[in-house]
Amino acid sequence: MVGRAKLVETSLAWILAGLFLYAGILKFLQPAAFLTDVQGFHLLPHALAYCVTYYLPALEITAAVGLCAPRFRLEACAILAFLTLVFLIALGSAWMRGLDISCGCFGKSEIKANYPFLIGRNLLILAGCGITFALRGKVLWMRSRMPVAK
Amino acid sequence: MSVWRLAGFIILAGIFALGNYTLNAGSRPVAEEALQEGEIRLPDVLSSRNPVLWIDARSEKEYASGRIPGALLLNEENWDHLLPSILGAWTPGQTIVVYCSSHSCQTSRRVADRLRAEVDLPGILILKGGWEAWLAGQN
Repeated sequence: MVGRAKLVETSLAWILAGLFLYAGILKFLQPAAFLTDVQGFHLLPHALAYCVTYYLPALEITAAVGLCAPRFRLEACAILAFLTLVFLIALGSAWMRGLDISCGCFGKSEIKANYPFLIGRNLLILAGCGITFALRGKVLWMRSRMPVAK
Repeated sequence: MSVWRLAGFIILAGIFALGNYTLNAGSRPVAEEALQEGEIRLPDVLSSRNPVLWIDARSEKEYASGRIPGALLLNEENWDHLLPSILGAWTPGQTIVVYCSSHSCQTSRRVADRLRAEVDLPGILILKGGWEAWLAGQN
């Protein structure tokens, strides 16, 4: 039981880590392009958008690397789930305001935002984070209940 | 879940972000993104000697709420209906400058590309920063 949960948890964590690492590195390497994407949401003043441009990709990369280490997985998962949730709210807000944006999720590779697709994709990522978090918690809980060999 | 580990991630990301900022600040300001192919900045349009035909690629609603003086509406939704008025307004020697709402919108590029493909008019450019750049230039 623990073995199967651990296998699913590890597989999901590695998939999510690869995804966030790819997305984070693209934005990390192209801050100017990412700044225009952030500004396209019309949610933040310029100074804050500037900070987000540098901080968000760094946090994505750090948490993605953390996902690969079981010891840090819970925290990394929580951070990435939080980032995805915030992004979902920003996307919903942009959609409601009828903005024509480039989502900036994977650098400049996505030209125009297809809102239903983007929201669906991020809900899937959020679900992935949630499942990984829950499975990690379950594995730790099961281990804690195992009898210790004397 | 450990609060200390969470804080560790947040601090480590901050250090990475600072490093990236330092590296990029040495090259060029992040806000001044280079012009892409076919783009022009507002000061260059305004200082140009050629007369300009402004094309607003935003929605009809946005166009109605505010536009560059003299701009004509041309968007993808009503392309066939709006194109004749553009062709009728254009005179030889005029530079066509297409704009949309901001830096990140892409409709101006799509409209400019479609104009180049469908109508044989010379000198079609895209305004860098779009309507936002125009508004900023007015302040």
